[in-house]
Amino acid sequence: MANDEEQVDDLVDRAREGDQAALGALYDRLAERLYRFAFFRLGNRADAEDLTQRTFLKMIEALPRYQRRGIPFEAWFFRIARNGLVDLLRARRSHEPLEALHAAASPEVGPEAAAELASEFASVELAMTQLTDEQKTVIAYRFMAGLTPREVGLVMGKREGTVRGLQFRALVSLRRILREAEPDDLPGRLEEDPS
Amino acid sequence: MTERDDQLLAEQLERYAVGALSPDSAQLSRMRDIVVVAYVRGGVRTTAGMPTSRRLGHRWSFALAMGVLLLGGGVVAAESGPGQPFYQLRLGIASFTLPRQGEARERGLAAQLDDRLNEADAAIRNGDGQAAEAAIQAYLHTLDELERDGGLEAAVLADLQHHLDVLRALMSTAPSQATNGLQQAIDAAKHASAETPAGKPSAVPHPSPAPHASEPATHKP
Repeated sequence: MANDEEQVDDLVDRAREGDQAALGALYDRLAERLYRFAFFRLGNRADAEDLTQRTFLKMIEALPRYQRRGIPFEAWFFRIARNGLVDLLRARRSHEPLEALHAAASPEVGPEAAAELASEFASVELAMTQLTDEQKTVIAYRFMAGLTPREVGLVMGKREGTVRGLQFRALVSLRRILREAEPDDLPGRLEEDPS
Repeated sequence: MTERDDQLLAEQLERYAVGALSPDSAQLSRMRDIVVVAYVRGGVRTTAGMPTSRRLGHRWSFALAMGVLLLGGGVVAAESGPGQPFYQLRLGIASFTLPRQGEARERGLAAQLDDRLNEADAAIRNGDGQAAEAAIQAYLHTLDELERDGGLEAAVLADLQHHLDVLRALMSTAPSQATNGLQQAIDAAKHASAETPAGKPSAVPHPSPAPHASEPATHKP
């Protein structure tokens, strides 16, 4: 992890000096993760794209002022995203329904596999709606944005232990909800023995 | 709940994130272009690193151009952006106010190139292909003048390298009307920036010759 952070810090230093390739590498590292997080929290692709772009533009603007001070760059970056998200949600009257399910059928898989995936995604999405907002936020940072519990804590202003607790309770709830929703399918999937 | 159950659920969530929430490649590429253009443009626009002499040079030529315009009743021309009727007049006046020869002229032309590039960038951001094309053609014209004057200073060559980055970045978001011109500008800037620095002492970043001894030799925007 430390090595990974060092690599990111190196890219940040180079991007601050005007290295376009380093900026591109930072984009490649963060863009998809931020977009997934944004799509999950905002529920539509246009807003997710908007938040992703805004976050990067703000990052570029703030890059000369960035100081590590014990905060990993990715946590700093997702703090910018979080502020942008709050602004967008404030400006919006209500949440729109997620579009994700219809976009799930990838052309790379066959129709049967796509239908199976869509069904799995639908179950996950439905289960997620029953979590508390804090639990949903932790799940989004952990699994959509790919942050560590420590980084999530820094973004949300919570202790790492609190984040781990929220994640634990969220996973317990999700498992229960998924079991109840599709007793013959998803729980079996979770329990099946790979051997 | 076992650790293995946790792991399986985590994998399911990750599958969901990647499969249902990922951007498509067109979105990723579109966002990337915007981010890179903003990053590169930030380098062109800022005047923070520009030496005082150049900033003053900018102001001086701008003030003189404005004076000539006011005297001639050319206020309208001063307001004309690329693609507008008096744009060429404005460029003509700006060109007229440049020194006839020497480093000051070279720097003035380089500053004009920056201005044209910023105009093209603004026009492309507004989706105005006609204005972008006008600014790019003006850029090409000024670059031609700059090359015609002979060997270029190292600092100007470095500026041109930077322009190349900007022009390439603009290419990905430019309206179709402006892409041919942009390609020409890329080729021309590539050609010009590949020149060997002028065989004159001023091409070396330090020190400057006597008449400009107090001016820094480099003038990165």
